[in-house]
Amino acid sequence: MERVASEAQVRVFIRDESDVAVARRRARELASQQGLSEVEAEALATAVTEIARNIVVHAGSGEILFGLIADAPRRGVVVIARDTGPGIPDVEQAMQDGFSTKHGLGFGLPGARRLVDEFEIESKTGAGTTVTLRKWTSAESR
Amino acid sequence: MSDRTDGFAHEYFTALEGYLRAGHESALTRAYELGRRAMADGLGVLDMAVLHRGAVDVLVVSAPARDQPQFARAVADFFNELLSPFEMSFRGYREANEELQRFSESLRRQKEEVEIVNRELESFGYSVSHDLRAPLRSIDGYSQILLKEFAHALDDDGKKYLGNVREAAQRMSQLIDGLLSLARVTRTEIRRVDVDLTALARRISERLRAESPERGGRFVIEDGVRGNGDPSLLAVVLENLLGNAWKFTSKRKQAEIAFGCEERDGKPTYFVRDNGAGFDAAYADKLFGAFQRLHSPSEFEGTGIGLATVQRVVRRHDGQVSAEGKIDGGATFYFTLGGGRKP
Repeated sequence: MERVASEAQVRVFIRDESDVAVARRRARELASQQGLSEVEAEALATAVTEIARNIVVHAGSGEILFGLIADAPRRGVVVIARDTGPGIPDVEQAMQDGFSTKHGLGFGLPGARRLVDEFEIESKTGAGTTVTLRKWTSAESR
Repeated sequence: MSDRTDGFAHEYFTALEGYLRAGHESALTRAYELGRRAMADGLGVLDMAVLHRGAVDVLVVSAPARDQPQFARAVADFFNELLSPFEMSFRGYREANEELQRFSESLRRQKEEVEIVNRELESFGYSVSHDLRAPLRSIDGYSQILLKEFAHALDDDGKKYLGNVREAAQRMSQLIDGLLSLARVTRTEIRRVDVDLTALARRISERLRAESPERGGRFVIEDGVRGNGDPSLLAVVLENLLGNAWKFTSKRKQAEIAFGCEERDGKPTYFVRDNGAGFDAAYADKLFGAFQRLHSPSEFEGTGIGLATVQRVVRRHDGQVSAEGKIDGGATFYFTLGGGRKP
């Protein structure tokens, strides 16, 4: 489990699109609180949107935990998205872009992966999926 | 604007207006979703810019002057959301492109390696064939001397065995010739010109008839057949195909061999047809492999290299070669010359 300062932990339940909006706002707020640049914060918010959407579409409901993390001198945000949905039978395949789709390559889980610094996914068929994202401050940050 | 972008424009306007009024995150989510849908519909970033400007042009009028800085900030945030899906997808394309480049680079390297190995194999084959000829000449030559000058010292069996040695040596020499010509075909630069195939086929058929004047039969060679290719390599093809046809009709009282050109699958296709021994259609794909023979040397002499050479020449001309036939029902060989003109 992530070493998250408990006072910084925020939990957002995800059931529908309005919850996706809440999760995005949290992501952006915490990112700027940690000193990530606007572009970095937006990238994290976009990644969170995609995994929150995934929960709504594939699992029906779930939760997203946010935490502040530090690895001096870097600071960052960790996002843990959990659901108890059907799970992903083939994670490797799910992490690949749909080359066959005509437009919009790079959405969903692979899209989210490219927008953050660290990306982990764990899924068990029938038991649900957990996605962990981390986004750190960089030279670009304020 | 098209109906499609009109629909987007309306939705975008409504969402932006709502965001400016209430500042809810859910309006930003709608902008994001719109961007995502626009991408899936094949719209571009500039379409989004037009959409955005259209909405801002209308909304800026109703914004009080003192709220201008907040207004500017809010529309920028909103526009950001619309463009985020494009950014995400762009990263996907960039990564896919890098992967493709790595892949094509590794393909290029593999191709180079294969070419090097092929060249080495060819020159190896060439020098082996070359070096094998000298000892072979000795075997044949000394056998001949033995038969001629020491015939008195040999009984009938001895002479027969020595005759077998010579026959084997000559057969091996033919095999080597075949291999050398196969190697040459692979190495020669192709020089494409317009070739009078009718004249070429006539010359070859006359030579074949002269070689066995006792045989009956006829060659039917179509007039005015021309092809675009390397003259000496095309001569190799016709010599092999007509030579084969002549050979495999040797047991017919009336051999009939035809050469011409017809349209097959929309391409001018040359053919050599005979009424000879034919072959089992089930083995048609084996015909063109080097050293593959469907008849024993005792039935029809040969090395099994001729058709492999034909195939190689035709392939080097970007053409295709195929064969039809049945046992004792004759055979037809077809070939095309890629890029050739219709005769």
